[in-house]
Amino acid sequence: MTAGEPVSLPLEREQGAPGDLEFLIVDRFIGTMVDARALKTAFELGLVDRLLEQRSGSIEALGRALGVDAPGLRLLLDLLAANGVVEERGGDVRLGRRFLDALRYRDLLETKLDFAGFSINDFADLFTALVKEPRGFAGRARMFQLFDYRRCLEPSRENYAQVRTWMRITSTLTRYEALACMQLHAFAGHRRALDVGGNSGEFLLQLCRRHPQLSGTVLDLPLVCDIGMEHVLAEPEASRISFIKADVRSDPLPSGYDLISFKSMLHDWPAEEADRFLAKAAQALPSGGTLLIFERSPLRVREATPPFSLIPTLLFFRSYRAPAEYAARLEALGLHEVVLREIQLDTAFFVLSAKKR
Amino acid sequence: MGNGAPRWDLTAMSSAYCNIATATATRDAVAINLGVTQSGDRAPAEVKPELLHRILLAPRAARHLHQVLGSLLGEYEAQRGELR
Repeated sequence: MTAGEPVSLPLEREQGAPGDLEFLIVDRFIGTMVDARALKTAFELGLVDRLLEQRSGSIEALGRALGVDAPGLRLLLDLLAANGVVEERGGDVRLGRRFLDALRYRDLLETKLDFAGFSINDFADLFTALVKEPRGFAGRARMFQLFDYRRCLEPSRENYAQVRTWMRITSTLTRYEALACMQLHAFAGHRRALDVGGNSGEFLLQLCRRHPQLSGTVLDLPLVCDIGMEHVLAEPEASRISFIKADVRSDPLPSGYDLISFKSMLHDWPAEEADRFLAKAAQALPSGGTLLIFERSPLRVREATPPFSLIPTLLFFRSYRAPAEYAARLEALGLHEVVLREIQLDTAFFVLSAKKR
Repeated sequence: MGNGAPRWDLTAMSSAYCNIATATATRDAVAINLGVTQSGDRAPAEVKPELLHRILLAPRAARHLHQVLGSLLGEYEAQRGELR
């Protein structure tokens, strides 16, 4: 690669091969707010679980079991049928085949439902502010109150509760995004990884699960590490994952890691801060070590209206930087062999890697 | 058993200090994972969780434990202040 010209290598997948990205099917069922709300109600009422257990049921039996009157159940089933969640034949209701496929990723499906539902008020009430007054939007949006990193510093019952709430969301999303990252970068050559802002350790957990030679350390704020240790405690890979309570804004990065990664972390910070984090990482790496950035690309919404499932992502649209910006910074830091690879998930993501000379 | 408390057979008992506890539930059991944080092997600031015990509780026993712990911690915090 020549300086300033990062290459884009879109992932090629074998057609029809069972891939790691089948989880994307969950978005099919969160296309509109009406679809999402009906599906959430189906979960809340226990309709999905009942149909999973009993495979099918008559409308009358479902109404009795769920405590829903006939008109209410009719409306719900019609909405669910229109979205492919259920199928109805001769008064018998069962889950749709494609929806059963999506239920293999139920944690992701329910997390995306909840996250989009949480975001809808910000989008509906504050979109003008989001477009015109980003600072005013950030000050008023529930989303930015939820992701308030100041709460990750001081232990208190309230702070732990709030941090756990957003860590549940980010951990579930990371569980699946990590699979895509592993398609784009060969982790088999790495031995010790430092994941800066590594959250619950879910990213390292997925990497360690796939790569037995790998161990790693999460560097994150104190409460995040406490909750992260709980998160990985019962996992077979827990003995290979450690935590360092630190603040990358003020603390140096430890040495001894041949891979330093930033997974969905840099976009949370202003460009100057992100540059400083990258400089610290470049300094901490040994010669031949790899710096890796895995991020969502800037949103491209011109071709089609984003689905309801992307409402949370839309609220962060200002945060996503073009990979060329990061690539230029890595080159300015003296790193070489800069490689960019992109992949289409619910939006485009990229992996940018570079080596220290 | 004069006071109604159960008499435990202690021959297979072991004790361990734990400072991490998590729990998950299935239809048939509640799994409690008990662990401790250990210093990492590379740097003093590095800590890692170590799982010491995984205990599967029948749901009814888990409910009883929940009630006992709730009551106990309520008394603890009333005497010593809120746990942070």
